[in-house]
Amino acid sequence: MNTDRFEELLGRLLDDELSLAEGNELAAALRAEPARLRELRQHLSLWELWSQQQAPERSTDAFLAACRTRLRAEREGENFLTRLKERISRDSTKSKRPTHLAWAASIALVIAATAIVLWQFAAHPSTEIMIALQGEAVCPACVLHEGHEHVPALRVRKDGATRVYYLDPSPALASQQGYFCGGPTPVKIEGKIHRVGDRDRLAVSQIELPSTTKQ
Amino acid sequence: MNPPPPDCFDSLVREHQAGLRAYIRALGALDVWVDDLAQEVFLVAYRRHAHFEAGADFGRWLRGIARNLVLNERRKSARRSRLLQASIVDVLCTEEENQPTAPTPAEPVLHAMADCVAQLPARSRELLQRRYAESNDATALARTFQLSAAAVRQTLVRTRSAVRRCIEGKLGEAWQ
Repeated sequence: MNTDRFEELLGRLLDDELSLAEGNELAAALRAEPARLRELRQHLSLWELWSQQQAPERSTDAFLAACRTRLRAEREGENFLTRLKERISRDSTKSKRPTHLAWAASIALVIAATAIVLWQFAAHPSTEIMIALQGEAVCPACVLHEGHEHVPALRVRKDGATRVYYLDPSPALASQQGYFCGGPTPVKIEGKIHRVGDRDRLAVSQIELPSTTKQ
Repeated sequence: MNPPPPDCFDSLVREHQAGLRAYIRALGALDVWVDDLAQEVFLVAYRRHAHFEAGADFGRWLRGIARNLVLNERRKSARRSRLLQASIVDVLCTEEENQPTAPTPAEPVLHAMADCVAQLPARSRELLQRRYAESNDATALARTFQLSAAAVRQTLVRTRSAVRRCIEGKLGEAWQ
């Protein structure tokens, strides 16, 4: 492979624009020419480091914040399971009590809680309520093709209607941009909805992406 | 064994993240997935800290975890892989197995890189800035610079090669 062709394919690879045929052509050249392979590895490392330094969402602080968030999600997930197990075992020890009393208490509790929520909502209609949404992680630029702004967004499809919520920016979310650009990917998000201009925005308090829930 | 305290975890992440991300990219991760994979490596390291031998090279241990993660990903027939296409990843991973790379010295490389980029013509510097700081692709850059996408790609190729040669000249064997 001559230098011009190699550089052309290298450029396409670095910009993620390589076709399958071009990839196979480049792979064959890399196998045959160790110097080209070394050059490719250097370029990959080099421009990765440069990207980390140049893009604010890829800074050390943003990366660390994302690691902490994922670690916390993992730890709280384990705590949640432990608490659930404890609760199940506690409930099973209470099972000798008359069940109709437990049912009555539960129903009363639900009615009271619903009344409080409705009263609060009626009194303050603009109050932002924490909601949980299940949908797809998308990027308006990569997935929705709505311009060139690479930001995290949530697409929810229900009853034939589609709604897009733009997530409020944060370093932790910025470092997860790959999920959104690689979407549509299933995601669960908890947060508060608010409106900015003509857009629904979501202040995220918790996000469940595939890799934060797996393992 | 108790997990490492949060301060300790933070300082380990700070110390190793840049080189680890560069390593993962050089194994064939797609650029948008590098951070995700690197975070997974740190989570695995946190979970398996008891397996780490005191006094051993922590960076090397992390790179081992990263390599396994990439190889596992390569074996999966996922519809949406986090890696470059298989033929390229195979070449990169095989080479890494045969001739493991020394960790990229992030600080000196970035230092040399800043010098080399500063020597570029203003337009090339701006092109790099918009490509990497603002994550613009060739099509978006073509609009900004009123060039064809092909011309942008060619300029990027030449600029990147010039920077790599400049760094190699500055660092010599330290970057082999």
